[in-house]
Amino acid sequence: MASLCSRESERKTTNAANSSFTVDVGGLAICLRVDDPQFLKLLEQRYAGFQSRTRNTVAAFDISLQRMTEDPDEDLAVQTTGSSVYMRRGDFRADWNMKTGRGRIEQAPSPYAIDSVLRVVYSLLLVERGGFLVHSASAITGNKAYLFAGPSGSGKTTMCRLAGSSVHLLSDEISFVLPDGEAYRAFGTPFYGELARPGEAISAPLDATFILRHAPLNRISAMVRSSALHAVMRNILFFAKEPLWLERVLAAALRFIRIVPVRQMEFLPNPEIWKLVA
Amino acid sequence: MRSLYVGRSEAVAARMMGGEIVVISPEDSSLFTLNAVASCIWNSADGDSTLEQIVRNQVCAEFEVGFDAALEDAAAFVREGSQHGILQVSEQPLPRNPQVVLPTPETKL
Repeated sequence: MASLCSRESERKTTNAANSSFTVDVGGLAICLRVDDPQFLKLLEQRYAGFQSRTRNTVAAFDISLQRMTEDPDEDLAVQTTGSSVYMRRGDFRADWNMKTGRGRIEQAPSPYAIDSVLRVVYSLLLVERGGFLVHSASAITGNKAYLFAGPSGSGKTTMCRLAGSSVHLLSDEISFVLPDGEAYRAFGTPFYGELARPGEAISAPLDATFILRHAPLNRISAMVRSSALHAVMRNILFFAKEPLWLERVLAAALRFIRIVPVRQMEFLPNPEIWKLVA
Repeated sequence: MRSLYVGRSEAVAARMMGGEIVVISPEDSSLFTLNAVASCIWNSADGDSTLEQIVRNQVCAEFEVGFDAALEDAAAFVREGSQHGILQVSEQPLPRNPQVVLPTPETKL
């Protein structure tokens, strides 16, 4: 699925080259086309570290900015039928054909809408490849990557704030995991939480996943496999409810817990916890 | 419950993990790990068999457990499973669900 962006651009005016932005996370490049220069600038700022000039894109979206009148806090709805994906929230509507890679987004001129569309699209692209987006912080230390998973308030952002200068942050909120042969690799993402800054666009082999829990001491303990599976599944971002997708997510999670150690991390909010990580 | 037919929902995904079956519900994305007895019931819930038949012919044959106690536990499992949309119960036989529980790739990726 190459050159989704360039093919379309050829039909456009001479300004076409300036009306698209390609974001690349984990080697999966998505082309975003929009005619509004201000919004294009917003994309360039928000995804600056993840901009790509590749023509080898896996998806391409035409963005139409509109005044959306629905409730922006409406729950996200995602529906898949065959290769067609439809997603909707109060501040956007989007459809995407996974087979052709083409899609359209009608959205409010807000970064949150495009961020949500990208999360859904990446979650599906990753599950197709045996990986997933996971609600976790992630970081690289000693050339190995670690995930710190848990719901809001469990300490993901805190772990990032406690990290020393030798630690490279991949995300404080949404991590990107792909199989890499017989192992897994974690990639930096532009998706962030309370830390309010994107991760670094780098990657490393994934060494362990920690399930976070606040406690009066720092301690790492093993988890039995069924607990590990439940913990990982609870944190994987997936939006499609169709059996085919559920099957893919479940298969991906089961393979993941067999290969990557999943451990419980109880921690105090102090930097000492990082000594137990690597 | 004992004379009701029991079938697996077609909307779920299920996989073997060791000797247990894990099932994910499409309704709320809940994940269920079925123990050996529940896995036996799950595998036997073909829509053609009543819970009573499943317990008598499968559970009691495979595990050292009395019929009445097994039926009580099985009824509780089926009740919970149907509430979460992973099992279906009906007074009439249900359409056969051809879904096969795939093994987790334990030995081969």
